[in-house]
Amino acid sequence: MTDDAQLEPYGAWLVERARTGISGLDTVLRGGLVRGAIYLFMGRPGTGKTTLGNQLCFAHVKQGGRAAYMTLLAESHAAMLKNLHTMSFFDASLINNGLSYVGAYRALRDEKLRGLLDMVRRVILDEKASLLVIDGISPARALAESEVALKEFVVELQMLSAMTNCTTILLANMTAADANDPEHTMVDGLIELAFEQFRRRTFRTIEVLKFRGTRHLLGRHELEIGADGVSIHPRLEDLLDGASNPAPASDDRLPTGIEQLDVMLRGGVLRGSNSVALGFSGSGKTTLGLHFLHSGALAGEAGVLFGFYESPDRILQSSEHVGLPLREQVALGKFSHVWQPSHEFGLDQLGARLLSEVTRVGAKRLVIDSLDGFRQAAIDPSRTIRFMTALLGELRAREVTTILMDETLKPSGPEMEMRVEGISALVENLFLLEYMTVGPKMRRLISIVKQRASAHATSAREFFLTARGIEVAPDAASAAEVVAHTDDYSARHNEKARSPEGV
Amino acid sequence: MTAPPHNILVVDDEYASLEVLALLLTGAGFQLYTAADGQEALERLAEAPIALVITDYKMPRMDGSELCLRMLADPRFENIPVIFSSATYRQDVPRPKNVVAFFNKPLLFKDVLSAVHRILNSAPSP
Repeated sequence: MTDDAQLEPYGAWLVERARTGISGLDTVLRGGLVRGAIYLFMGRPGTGKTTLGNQLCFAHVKQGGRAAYMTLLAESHAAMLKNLHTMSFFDASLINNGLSYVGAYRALRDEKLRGLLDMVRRVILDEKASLLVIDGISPARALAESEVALKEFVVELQMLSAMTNCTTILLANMTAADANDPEHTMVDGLIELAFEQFRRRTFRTIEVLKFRGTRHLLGRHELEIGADGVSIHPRLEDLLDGASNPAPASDDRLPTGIEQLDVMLRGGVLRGSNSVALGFSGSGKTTLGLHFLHSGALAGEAGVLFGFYESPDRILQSSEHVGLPLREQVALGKFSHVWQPSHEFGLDQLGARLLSEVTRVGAKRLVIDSLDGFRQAAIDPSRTIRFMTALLGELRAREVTTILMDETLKPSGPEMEMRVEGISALVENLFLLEYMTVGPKMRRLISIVKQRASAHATSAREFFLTARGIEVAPDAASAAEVVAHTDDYSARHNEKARSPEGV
Repeated sequence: MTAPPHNILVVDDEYASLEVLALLLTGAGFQLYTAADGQEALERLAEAPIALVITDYKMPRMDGSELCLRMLADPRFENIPVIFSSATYRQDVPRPKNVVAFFNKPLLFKDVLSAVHRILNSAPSP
């Protein structure tokens, strides 16, 4: 008699992955946890270990697996479940029906690590568990007879997990700085949950420090604990690394919906290109964006306004006031407004929301109002440019034509700063919207500062905000008059400032 | 009166493989003996009536193949069935005739247990 079931050479080396069911975690792990492997999730109190451990169990059982949650010296099961029961993943009907809670401290205390290992064996086999979480591994370290005994225990636990094909997760109250112990070097994966502070803001993060057998996403990713439990927001630039096509493939031009601006642009902006509209508050940037989206919707192209300031109702109202009604386009699925205060979400959450909405509505046009919303959401503002590089690259690859609003600190030139350094190099087109006082009147100018690889009008034009939206003058004559007056005013102003009397 | 448990000898130079397989089989109701290589396994075989040997292939001093051949050459052990396990064993290499099952490492306990029950002709526990 011969068992030939496993006679394929090295067949048992095939790695089977199990999705965790936790939003973003499988993305960071590039596919989930390896079946039968052992992982250490570590972090200080409050970083989310217990919530994550329980959520993993509930998600595993909901996917058809069986799970056991084993505690050593930790809060009582009743107290833990009471704290978790308001979260959406919690399902009381699964407890003792696929998910078991087991206390193992007495086995550890009375029979040391050998007793704990035997307890683990019994729980895995009796409960037919395919996922085991051991919460609070520190007492095992404290009660280990020696350093060698602890090493033996970890290796045996690893072997037990592999032989029973039960994925084991250890939760430990420690940080990566202390991670020089046997349990750190011998486990298949090492994941740290931490708090990160930038100025006075505190965020939770997760970082995969080691994950055998796969190329996981590096870096610290934001971890959020909300009504749905733990969700992870993978860093967009890591996620999209190498995934985005770098250049627009099309010569197709999209009209902005502003007739004379399209003349200045020799037909419009290239499909899949990114543009920045730069201007002071009230300069007409949002109206320009509404033109772009309205014009697209009328041509059957869905568009998204991703905004931080005006509420959806206010935007729809404004669109009607400027003769660009978008309310009916919402019903037709050609216009969508995603609105959020910038302080409510982190950078990666914003990126995920934006891409998800673009995908959902099949958007071909996008207006971001404004770049400052992303800058304010960034824990570290210097990251904004790397993030935007990845985001704009991805949008370009999806052939989504984007106009990004960016607010200046002054209403007009000559020095117009961009708040995120380097952004102008990222985009194909740069529009400048200025306004200035000429006598008793406010006059507005629009210029095309840059249109990459394309001819465009080199002179500024005057434009007007009317009941029909933006109307751009058909030539540069009135703009020249405004500039001349402003230059004359500036010269006189500078002359006064230089005079010894200062008057 | 219930029958005494079968004696199984597990042979492996890798500490965790040996200990954990022994732990799992003990938990399944068998009497376990362990050895770290073929030489030590022959000593264990001489000490107790062994019903089944589960051995690793690659080991220091005496490997699994040599152990099988020595068992075949000894009338006391020639009829003891052997399960081979290895992470590196070549399937096309002829196996000694007392090898009745082969498993790649890492072992899956449920497969090993099923084979053990079948070989020993004892019913799996419910």
